[in-house]
Amino acid sequence: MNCENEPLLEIKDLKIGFKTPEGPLHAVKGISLEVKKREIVGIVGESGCGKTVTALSIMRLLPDNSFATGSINFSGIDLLSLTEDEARGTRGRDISMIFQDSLSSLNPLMKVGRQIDENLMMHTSLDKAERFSRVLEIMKGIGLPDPERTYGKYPHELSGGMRQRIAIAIAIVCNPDLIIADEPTTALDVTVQAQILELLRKINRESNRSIIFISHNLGVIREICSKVYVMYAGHIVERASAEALFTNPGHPYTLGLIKALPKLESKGKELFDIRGRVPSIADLTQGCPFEPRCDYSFERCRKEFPDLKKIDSDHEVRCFLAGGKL
Amino acid sequence: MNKRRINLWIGTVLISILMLMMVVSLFYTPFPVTEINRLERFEPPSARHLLGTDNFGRDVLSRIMKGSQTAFFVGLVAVSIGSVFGVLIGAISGYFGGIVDEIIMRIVDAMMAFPSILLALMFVSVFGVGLRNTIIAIGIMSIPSFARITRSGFVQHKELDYVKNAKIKGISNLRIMFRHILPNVLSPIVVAASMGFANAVLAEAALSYLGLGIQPPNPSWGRMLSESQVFITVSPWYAIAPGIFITLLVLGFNFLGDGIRDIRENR
Amino acid sequence: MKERILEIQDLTKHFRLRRTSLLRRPGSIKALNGISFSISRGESFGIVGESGCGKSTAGYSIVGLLKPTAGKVLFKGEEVNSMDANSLREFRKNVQLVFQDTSGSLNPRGTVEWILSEPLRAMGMAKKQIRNLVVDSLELVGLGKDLLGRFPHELSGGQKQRIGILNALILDPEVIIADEPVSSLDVSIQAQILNLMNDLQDRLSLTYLFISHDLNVVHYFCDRIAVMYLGEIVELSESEELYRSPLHPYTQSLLSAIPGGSYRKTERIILEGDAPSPMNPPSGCFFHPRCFKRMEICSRVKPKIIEVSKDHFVSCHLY
Repeated sequence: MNCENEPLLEIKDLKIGFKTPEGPLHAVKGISLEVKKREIVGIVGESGCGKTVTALSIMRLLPDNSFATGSINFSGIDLLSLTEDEARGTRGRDISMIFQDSLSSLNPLMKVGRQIDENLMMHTSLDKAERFSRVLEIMKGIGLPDPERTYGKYPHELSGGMRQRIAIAIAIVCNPDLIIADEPTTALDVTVQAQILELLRKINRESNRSIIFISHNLGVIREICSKVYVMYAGHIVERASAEALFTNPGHPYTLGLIKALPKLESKGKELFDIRGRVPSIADLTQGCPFEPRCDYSFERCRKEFPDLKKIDSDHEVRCFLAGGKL
Repeated sequence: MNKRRINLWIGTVLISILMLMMVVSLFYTPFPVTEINRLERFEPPSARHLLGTDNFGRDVLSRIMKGSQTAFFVGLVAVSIGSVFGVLIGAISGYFGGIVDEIIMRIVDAMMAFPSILLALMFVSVFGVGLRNTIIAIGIMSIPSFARITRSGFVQHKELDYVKNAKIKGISNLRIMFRHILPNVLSPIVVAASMGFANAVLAEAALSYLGLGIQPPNPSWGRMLSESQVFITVSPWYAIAPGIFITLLVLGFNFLGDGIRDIRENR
Repeated sequence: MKERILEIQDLTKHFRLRRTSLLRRPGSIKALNGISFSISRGESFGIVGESGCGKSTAGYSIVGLLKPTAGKVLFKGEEVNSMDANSLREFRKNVQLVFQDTSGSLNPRGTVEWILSEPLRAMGMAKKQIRNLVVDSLELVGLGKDLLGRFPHELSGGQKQRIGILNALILDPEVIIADEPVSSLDVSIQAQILNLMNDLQDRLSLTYLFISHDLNVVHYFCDRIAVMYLGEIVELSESEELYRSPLHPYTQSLLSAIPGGSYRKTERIILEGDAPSPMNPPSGCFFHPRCFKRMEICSRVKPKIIEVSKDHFVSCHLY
């Protein structure tokens, strides 16, 4: 029985790596996060931080040469312990995923209506007529004009925004409790992005579905998420509510990201430059992974790895300076 | 990792062995190739004649070895003709497009509509038989496929940003075609060359089999096949040997071509 | 009055499609429908718009990769179309383009040194001189000599972008047209590249035409901005002014759509539907089907560009 306060998804100390001829590479080095019911949780980070790999591991979509330890607890079941068949049952029905590029995530040779239908077919026992009406219902609900005509179209005949709506339809048609959206609006125009974000908000409000929203775009995260995790080099370095993250960032990396964004006030000034580069996945260090690029680092940062420290209710930072003023 | 390279390995090994045989034959064959020895006709394979003798008592192995020179030579020159002209035509056609492209491609299409052997036959019938014309004929018949492959690569690449970039940086069309685009489309051309080599060997064998290619007394595997047909019941080794070697050479180049394609794709 | 280094007059570009049926005339993609603006020397001029608005087409047409269907491009007062071979060569050298997201614009089979040397070789420079120039110029974009022998796939996104910029700068141009120069980059690299471009502008007295779909970036970087929709400029003004008081409904919805709400003044404006295809633009004002302030006249008559306040132009019947 799920109480109101119990999290829908709880990840504990997740580590994900890949076996390569040159040795194992660790993409995710021990992260813990939780998603409650009806929450929209954001994971923000730049490329290479491990956010997509995390999403794929929840969906059990990682390649064969990967290994994962830790636990991913979804409504009482450890997703990592499921067999491939069991995982396939969960995928699309209880948890579904939306990807960045709708053109490549949709089957180019199948009519879009059928693609939504396929998900229903796999996970429910409805007959053809029932499925058809449900698909049309969903298509209407997500704002696709003229669902009957659109049903028979192929992905390349639709615009980017409509394709992403189809991808969302496929994701929600079986009423999953959790939707993972990996950069769903990054490839879209800004006005279309606004539409899709509005749609996701509507889905969250009206059907009580939780959403994990992954992006490198801080603005989008701020727009739609209530809680945010910041990832860097395979670790979570900060967790906070969206408001708190932007008004009072605790980690130097978060602060750097916010300062690097061009904003109204930035005009005429140089943008903040977080010097250096994101460490490669093969770089192993004992201390804080952000230390080489941090303006506030000191000796301890190089040698010890900081733990997540609570600086407020609902605000944790992985930094030795947590709690002080940055 | 090596599982994927198996094609390359097989191909390289086969061709290397045959090439070795060819190189050796330049300096040494067990018996003189054209020496007729009535006493030793149709001898089966023995310690002295590893592959037996033919109807004239000539050592089959030596003839095979000499024949390999023909096979490689024809293959090399024919593929060179085909690739050089084919790439040139394909590059111009693909890069410039428009009416030039239309005309060239219609001609190429027409050439490809004929079975290429027929074209080679026609050429040889008109211009005469012999080594030189055989090579030219086979070379010409391989131009269309090189042209097609090259053109397709150029059509694809000329729209890419790096080409547009080169244009606005003032680089001449000729240079763009051959120093900028060509290195990027080389891979399928190399594969085609390898296959083309195999095809050339087969074509030469076919022409020579029909008597229209290499003329006696120069040994050619194809002609050896045709000559030996009559005697197949009496000395089967005489017929089998050239067939096996043609097969090995063609297989070798096919594997090599596949192998090159495999490594390129895996990158 | 600063010199008008680049002047665009009524630039139009229609792409004719292939004939698909014997009976109907082939359609055309009306990518650019008569845009006009001018850029002063030393200025950073921005063109902002969503996909299909024609901004990249504009850039390509100005630099000569596409032949305009109509209209004029004037460089330092001289019309490009009627230039003689020498002036044309000068123009080509002086107006360069940095391509969208360099992954494609660098030859995958060329080393960094080769890529940078090619334009100089085409100019006729001596080999030794080329080598020296290339090596010295790396410093301009903050890169080290160790990159000379690398191939594009061995470089990071930020490094590729820098090489792309250097590739354009190597001919010492006066104007750089940058087509989405930071769109595919992470936030921290984006900041580095924007800082670099600003720095280069000061050091080399460059004039920029900055094309992007990212309003935050365009507002930050540019002095004046033109907003494009379906091949036309719907609003043009100084960048602060544009964000302070956007006049055209499309501009207002663009600003409202910026995630994070930093520019949102009123209720979130969410446009209906998708942008129409450039093959079949609507009648009258192109934006009217999606416009939340449309009036009866908007579907019939195309609005003209008028100057509403000093240097603030808009094409809308509301004014």
